[in-house]
Amino acid sequence: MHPTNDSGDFGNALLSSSLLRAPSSLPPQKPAAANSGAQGAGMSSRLQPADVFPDTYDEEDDCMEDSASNGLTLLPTAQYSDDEDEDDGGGLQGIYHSLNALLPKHAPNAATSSVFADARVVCDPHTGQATLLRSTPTPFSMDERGDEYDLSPADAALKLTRVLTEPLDAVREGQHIANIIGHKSVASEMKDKAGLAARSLAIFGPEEQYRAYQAAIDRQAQLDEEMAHSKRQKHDHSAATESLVSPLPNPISTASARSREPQQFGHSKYSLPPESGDFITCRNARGKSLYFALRSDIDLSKQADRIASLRGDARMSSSQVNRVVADIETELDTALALRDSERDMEMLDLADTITSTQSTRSIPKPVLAESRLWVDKYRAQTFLDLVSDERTNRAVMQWLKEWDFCVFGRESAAAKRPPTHARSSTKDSAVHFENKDKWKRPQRRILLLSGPPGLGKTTLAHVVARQAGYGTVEINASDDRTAAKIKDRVLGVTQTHSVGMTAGSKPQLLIIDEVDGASAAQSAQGDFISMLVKLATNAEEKGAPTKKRRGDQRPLLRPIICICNNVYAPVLRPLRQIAQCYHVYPPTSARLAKRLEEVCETEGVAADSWGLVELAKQNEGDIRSCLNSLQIISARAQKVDSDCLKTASIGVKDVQRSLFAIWAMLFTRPDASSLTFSRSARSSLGKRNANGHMGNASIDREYSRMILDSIRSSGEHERLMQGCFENYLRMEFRDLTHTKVSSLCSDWFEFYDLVDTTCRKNPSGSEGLFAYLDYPLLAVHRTCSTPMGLSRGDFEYPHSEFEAFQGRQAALGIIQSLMSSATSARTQSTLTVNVVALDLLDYLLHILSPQLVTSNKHLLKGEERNRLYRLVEVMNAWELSLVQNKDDNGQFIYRLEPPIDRLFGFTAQRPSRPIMPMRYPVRQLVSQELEILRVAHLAAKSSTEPSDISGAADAKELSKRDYLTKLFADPLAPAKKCHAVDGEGDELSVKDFFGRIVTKKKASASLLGGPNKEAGKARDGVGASSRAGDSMGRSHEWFHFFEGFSNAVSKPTQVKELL
Amino acid sequence: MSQIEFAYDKAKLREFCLIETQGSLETDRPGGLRGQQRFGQIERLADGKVQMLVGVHRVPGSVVQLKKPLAVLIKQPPAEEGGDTSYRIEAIIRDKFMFKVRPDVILQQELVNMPSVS
Repeated sequence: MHPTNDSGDFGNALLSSSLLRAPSSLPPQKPAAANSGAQGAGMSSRLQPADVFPDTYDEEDDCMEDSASNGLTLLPTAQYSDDEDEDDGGGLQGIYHSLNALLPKHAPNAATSSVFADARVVCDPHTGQATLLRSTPTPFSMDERGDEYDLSPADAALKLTRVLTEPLDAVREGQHIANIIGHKSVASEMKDKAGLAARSLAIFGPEEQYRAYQAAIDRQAQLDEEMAHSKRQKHDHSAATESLVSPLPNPISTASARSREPQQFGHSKYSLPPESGDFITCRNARGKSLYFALRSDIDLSKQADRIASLRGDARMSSSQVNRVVADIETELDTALALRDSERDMEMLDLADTITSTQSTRSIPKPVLAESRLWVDKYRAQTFLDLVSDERTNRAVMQWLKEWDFCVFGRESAAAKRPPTHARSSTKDSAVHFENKDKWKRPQRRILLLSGPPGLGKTTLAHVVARQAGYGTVEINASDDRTAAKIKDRVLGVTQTHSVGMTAGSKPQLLIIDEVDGASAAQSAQGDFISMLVKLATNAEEKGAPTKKRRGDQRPLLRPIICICNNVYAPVLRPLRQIAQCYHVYPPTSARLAKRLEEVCETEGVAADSWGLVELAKQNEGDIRSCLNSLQIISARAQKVDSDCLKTASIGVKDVQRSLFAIWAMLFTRPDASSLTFSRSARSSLGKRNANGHMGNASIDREYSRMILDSIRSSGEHERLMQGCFENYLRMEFRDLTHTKVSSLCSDWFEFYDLVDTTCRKNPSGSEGLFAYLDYPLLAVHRTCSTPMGLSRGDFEYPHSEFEAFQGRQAALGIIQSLMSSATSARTQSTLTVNVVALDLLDYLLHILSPQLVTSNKHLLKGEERNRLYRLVEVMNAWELSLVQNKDDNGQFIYRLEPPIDRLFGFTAQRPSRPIMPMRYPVRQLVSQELEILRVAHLAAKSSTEPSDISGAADAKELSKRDYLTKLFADPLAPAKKCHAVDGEGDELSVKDFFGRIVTKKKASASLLGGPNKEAGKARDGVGASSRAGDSMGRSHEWFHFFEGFSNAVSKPTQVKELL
Repeated sequence: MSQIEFAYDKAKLREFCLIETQGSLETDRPGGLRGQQRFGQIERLADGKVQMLVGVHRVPGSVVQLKKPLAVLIKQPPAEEGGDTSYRIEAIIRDKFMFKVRPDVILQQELVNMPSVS
């Protein structure tokens, strides 16, 4: 049957034959698992373009033969699973392919099991031939793929057993085969696959199988005759290879007869596409295209009816499914007949068949236009095709050309014309020329392209490299992230220049895509980026004239182009400094639209240019997503226009409606046109329009539904409600009696607050309440919407909540600073924020705001002076101060610090009553007095630090007295003033160290007064004051010690004085 | 040429004390220091040092030998007209008491037990 090839494997032949014999030993009546319905339910018809499988046995059928005038019928499927598709390289391919091709068709509904993929049988009704079409043949021959040789026959055998045996038998057969072959791996594989085989068997109905088996037995004898005939032909190689499809009317003489006929079928009828109607393109073994016209269902049903009537099986014609089942049955008959014929073949014949089928199996992969993405199809091929910004393109090209001397050994055009040297960073261009190293490489040896995704950076790199004569090697840094892995590849590419040149191939250029995805993690050899940097800079050192070409570390002699999205990624920092960086900007939408238009023209898609511009804008210049969108849209609709873009959610990047859009909806009273917003609403509108009527109520309903949808999809209830709440009073809706507003506030807003608060407090417990958050918004819409929408009212984004929050934080800060300045422990313990805010502040500010008019200290009269003193004291106690700084107009003002007066001002207005004396000079006076008091306190504190308790209190009194003396020291009437102050001081209540109120005692003054007076004289003396002596009582003599120097004077004395 | 006679009678020599102080002796008594009154006392200590007690002050001092001894002279007017002036050597001072450190304060017992300042 098959032409033989002498290199056939005996073992395989043996195996095959033994296998083929096995089914005969089985009773054919044995029912296979009959759950074919369940299998069939999951099946789907996959009519994918397919390839003519060359070494298939063309199946002929007597029924088919009768419908010879019908042209081509595509039977739905004949497929087997993809994973096994990989394995078929073995000798029995021809057999099992044809068999397998037929198997699934025995499913009752004739659909394809999803397990099987991409193959089908084409029957030619003219000739009665059935041709197996496979989409993905594996184009290898035995010579090339010797290693798969052993496995394949096993698979083939296994697949045969699927047809013919029970699962258990399949296992047995599999083991048998494995034993014969002697491969352990095969044996184990067999066991695995036995289960699969059993499943395959399940799709056979027992009845069909039985019938098929009977038919096969009937034809046995006739086939035997044919075998004898085919043996005579077996050495005819050419005939074998041409045996692809040869029309022969007699089904009995199929295989052998066909192998004699040279390929008439492919050349005569199907070499040209049919004049009308759809067709499918296939390729035969020689890569010749064949065009099969597709028939409509009517044709198919007619044909099937005829088949059914011929077979006299009325049941089959009842439905289309049954018709196809009929076809399947005939196919099965043929297959089984074939199998029987083969079973009787000689071993040698089998071996020859194996080898010959192997050798004929080199089929070009089908190239089918529709299967390609437009993105790939219309990828820029030449420099002129590039859509990206031309300046960038040129700059990249220029940079690459600078490598010409190094790589190709020729002077680059760019190097010859230094003035036109177009670099974006011109500042180093001068240096660049002087620094030319031995290889005249560019100064920056790595090019870094950056830009948002989809702009064609990778394409740019590839195109430029190809144009400049490089072969490209692309490394995706996102995939192999480890530095060590990439290093090998980088070094391999960049340092093998001589080999590349002598081999006649192109020098290679390295493209590192998504370099920002490189891991920053340190490995043993450092991270990837620093490795790149080292590569570039190392080469630089070596390129210096003194030490060229040092052995181990070779210079970088090939350009590297890195591509990233974010040039400012932290990982790239070191690379950025040494690399030539170019940013790829999105092309203008006009330019992009032009390219899209070209694509549309080529594809035959009608597109209006405005729509394309729209598409380009929508995708923000992303060529890739533009093309993808275009392809998908064109697959759905014939015409691409702006409407189509709006409706197709595909082209739109952001489908969520913005908050403003929702607010606009909320405040707009709907009319019929406003319903075009949502698709669902439009569809329902369309329905009603079809009825010829749509009332306002229904419009309202639809619109409300739209609003609800939008609100739910946005999910920002809080923000939406804030926006409504802040703006609803600005809307000019009609509400003369204010009943609407009052009901809105009292009912809905309150309800919203209630629900919202509950939800926030206990989110998990109140899930059911979340749904109600939408409806208050709808109530706002019902109440406040106007036909004008937002256009009339001055709608503002809600920010009052944030402002309130900020204000609250600020006020809290002020209150807390005031609390912390409360000096006494008792006060501190009772102060809380609430107490300060509600109880303390009001009164405190009253206290702080006495009536002070005079700003000159010396002119202060009794009562006013008292008030000043009091104010200063209180301020000191609360650690308040007046800080001078400039206001907005540049004038100096005194501000209270901490600014507790602000706690009483509402929204930047001046407080209703003056807090503190407002006039600047008065405040200045207060501030100065406060300062003096502070200094006096400080001094007192430091001097009495190491004193006992009463001493501290006394010292405080003393310091106060001092301060007061100084404060009111009047040169004109000192005594009187002092006296007055003394009287005043008695009234003061001053806290001592523990915050207790201490009234000043005269006694303490007198106590201290005595020694002070007495010490007055001694004060200019030093050290041992007379106070101690006083305590001795009787000593009036003392030794006055002169510290530091001697008073001794040597004085010349003459003898005359002595006389 | 006049001749000054120094009468030196070893037996009549008196003991004089030269005191050098870093400071001055003061008093607030009406008569001041002029009145011949008890002012304080100087003690010789066992270790050869001295101390001066003035009022509540105790000034420690030391005995320093003078490099040149000093003589205390008393001028004797001439007994008759035309006679010679003579000097009588009252004493010869060979060392001095020097008080150059700051005085301590002597406190009474009841004052000592008072709460300490520091």
